[in-house]
Amino acid sequence: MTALLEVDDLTVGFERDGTRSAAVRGVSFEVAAGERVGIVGESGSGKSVTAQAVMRLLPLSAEVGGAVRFAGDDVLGYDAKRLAGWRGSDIAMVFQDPMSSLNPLLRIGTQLTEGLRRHRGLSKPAAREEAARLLRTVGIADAERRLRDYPHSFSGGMRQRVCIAIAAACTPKLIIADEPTTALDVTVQAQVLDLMDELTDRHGTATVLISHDLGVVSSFCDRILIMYAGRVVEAGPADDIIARPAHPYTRALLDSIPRLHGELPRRLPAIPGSPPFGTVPADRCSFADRCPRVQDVCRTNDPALEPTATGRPAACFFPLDSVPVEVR
Amino acid sequence: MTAPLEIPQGDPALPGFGLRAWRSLRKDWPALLSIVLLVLLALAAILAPLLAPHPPLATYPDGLQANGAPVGPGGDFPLGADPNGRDVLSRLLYGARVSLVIGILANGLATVMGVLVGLVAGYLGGWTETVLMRITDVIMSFPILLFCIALIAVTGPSAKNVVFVIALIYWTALARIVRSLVLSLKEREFVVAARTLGLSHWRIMRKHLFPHLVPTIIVYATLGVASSILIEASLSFLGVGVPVPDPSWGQMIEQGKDYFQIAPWLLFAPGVCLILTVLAFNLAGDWLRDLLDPTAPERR
Amino acid sequence: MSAVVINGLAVTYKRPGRGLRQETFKAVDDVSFTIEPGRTLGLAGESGSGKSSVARALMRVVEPSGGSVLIGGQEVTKLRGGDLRKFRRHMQMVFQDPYDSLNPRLTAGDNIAEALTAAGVSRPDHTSRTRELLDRVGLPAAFARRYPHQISGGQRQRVSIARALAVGPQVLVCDEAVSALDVSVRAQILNLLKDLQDADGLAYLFISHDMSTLRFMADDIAIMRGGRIVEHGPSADVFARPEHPYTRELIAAIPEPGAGRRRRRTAEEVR
Repeated sequence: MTALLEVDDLTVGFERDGTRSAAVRGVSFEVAAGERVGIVGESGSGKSVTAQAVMRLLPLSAEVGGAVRFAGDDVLGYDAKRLAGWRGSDIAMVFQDPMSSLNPLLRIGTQLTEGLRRHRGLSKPAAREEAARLLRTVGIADAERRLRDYPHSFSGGMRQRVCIAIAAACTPKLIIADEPTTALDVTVQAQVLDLMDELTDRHGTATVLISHDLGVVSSFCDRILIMYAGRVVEAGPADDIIARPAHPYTRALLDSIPRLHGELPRRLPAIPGSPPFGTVPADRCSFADRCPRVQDVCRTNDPALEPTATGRPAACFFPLDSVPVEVR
Repeated sequence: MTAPLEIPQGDPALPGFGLRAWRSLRKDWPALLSIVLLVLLALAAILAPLLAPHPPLATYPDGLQANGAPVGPGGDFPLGADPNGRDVLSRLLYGARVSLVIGILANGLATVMGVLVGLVAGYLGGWTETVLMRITDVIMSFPILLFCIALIAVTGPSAKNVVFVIALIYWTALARIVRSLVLSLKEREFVVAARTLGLSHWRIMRKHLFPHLVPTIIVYATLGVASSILIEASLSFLGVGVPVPDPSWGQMIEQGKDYFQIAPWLLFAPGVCLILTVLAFNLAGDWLRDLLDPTAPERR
Repeated sequence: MSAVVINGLAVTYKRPGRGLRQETFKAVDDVSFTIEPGRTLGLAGESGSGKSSVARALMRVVEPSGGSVLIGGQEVTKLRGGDLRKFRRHMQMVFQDPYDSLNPRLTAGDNIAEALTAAGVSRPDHTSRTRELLDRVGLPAAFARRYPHQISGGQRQRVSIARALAVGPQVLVCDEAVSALDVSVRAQILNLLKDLQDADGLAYLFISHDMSTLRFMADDIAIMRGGRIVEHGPSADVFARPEHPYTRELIAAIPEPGAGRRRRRTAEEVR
């Protein structure tokens, strides 16, 4: 079976003032139909740029290399017309800020029916009916009346529900959600995640969920990619990665999150330093300066993403062994 | 969305102001040209007595043709003569003095007033704001030109009065802009932080609010110089500006328009000067704004 | 003596209503709590719960419409003008957004020097004091010359903390102070805040929407909803036996790594 989405050695570079900086440095992954893949990373990890490269949303000044294939087709080669047809009908995106991704001057109904009429060829009344049904599925009461409302009269959580309704409107095969719950309150976040769970389950929609929050991603996804400084440093099934991280970065990230249960440490095991920005030297491990397991070779060679004793690939010369880590 | 490229690499310390100014000027030729032009203009105005081939007020019989029309450019009168037989180039040079001095002084005064009123009103709020902004509204609702004429009719036409009258009108627009900027600035966390530190109102306005207003002030001030020069021209035209026979560009344009058919240089010479000056002020203003913003050190 | 005693605090905002009338909106309603020196009160709640308004009323950035605030025994709500300005050094705040809480036109050192000026430190001593403060928050002295946009979010938050410490406060209000930071940097800042508290005996009002962070930081927890405190008690008790349904909902909403897929715990399960 061919994968729904194949990303092969994707690189994205930006040039500014004569200096080139690599935001994404050779990222490869696949998403099967109906699969849920999470991309976890901090600022500057390249996770959002990866998503934008897949959606072809990057500015023209960005240098994109590698390949992105959707159902076998070369997405990077799509012309404007093909792109417009592909977006919305086959693939849809949910953004972090539901306010700025909705047009404040258009009624919710207009924004919902737009895609339905264009991609599904529905008549105006049919599109309206369908839009109301969609609003009901995302849990918005009194849907017919709310179609006439403007975005500002919805709360943040409700707006994100509208965005999800718009994304799901044409039952795309893949939804890319970039930090969809980061701007929301925790209880609302849980509701929105439940909603995405439900919708993607019902239609078998594949999902790529991008977040800085390991908890959010692991509660939703089958498989996780951990990104750091423009690279995937570890990949594998969600539960395995959380239980037995192979990369020291993943491990340190998990340790540094305060927990709700168990013994309280007086100090948290913190990772020293900050994530790298801009130009990252290519001939060394980008995590070397913050890594507790660093050796000389880490500063002279960049480790490739290779299988480790855990059975999962990690980009590390000295991955953690396969002894299960006790989940705190 | 996280910005992947937010932090510039390399030496974090910014180079000195002069060096940065020079570096950015070299890359920005319109700004360079504008500044050269403004410097030349200032020099021309200052050195007018040395540069002018004739006294600006002297009338010459050879400036007029036999039929009474002014002679064209060339020969003794490089830019031609005016209908009174005076040398246009000389009048242009002396006119630059009047126009520039009035434009800069009037606008400088207006800027200081506008910034002070807007800053104090926006920052302090309450009844101070209400009083100051109502005064602003009232002045703004006057028809500008009519108001100027009325004021000058009372005070008498002189260059000094023109400066004061223009300043009195022009501070209001800036005061409103500054106030609205301050209203949003004072909600920014670093201003709230300055308040919670217990710094004095004056210091907060000076160190934490004012520097953020500078780019906007510069843009409006440069635009304002241009409009002040234009207002001065209008006033001169209406006979309530700079008293004749002292030359100013506006006055010259006004005189020239009646002779456009037979002596177009009378309109073009001061007109081109006015347009170039206004353009140069605007371009130089844009360049300064970018230069003064440390968060965009190498944007160009 | 308690570092902070708040009693019956109320904050009311006015907003334009129909026509010329003004509507009033009660953001904080009858909130009371006490913080002892060297202790941390965690204030939890979601957006609109009024937790930030409590912080801002305590800091006298917004005017409380009722109740009393005692800082080190001094009634703060009655202070005016110069007296208030002088008293402000006893209470300081670390803000949420490290991109916005430092003056972008001033270097990190000058941002801290503003606080020193407010505290009345003489100008010749600024450089040495700034260096000491940077050292306390774990930054090299060379950072004094950098502008905020030239340092990372975590480093900026350290500078903010140094600025707050510069005036020698007894109370530090942290309003979502780590929420905007990268996960790997958060723990550093939380540890730093704990170390500073141990060294100086600072009282913290630590505001967060994140219950797991609060569990790590706070000795006591108060849960706010709709402007009121709905649950208040020692941290261990609140997490072991949450009483208010909303508290249970807040705790249940946190997806913890390792909790497994599609197993978002229900409020009943937490109990």
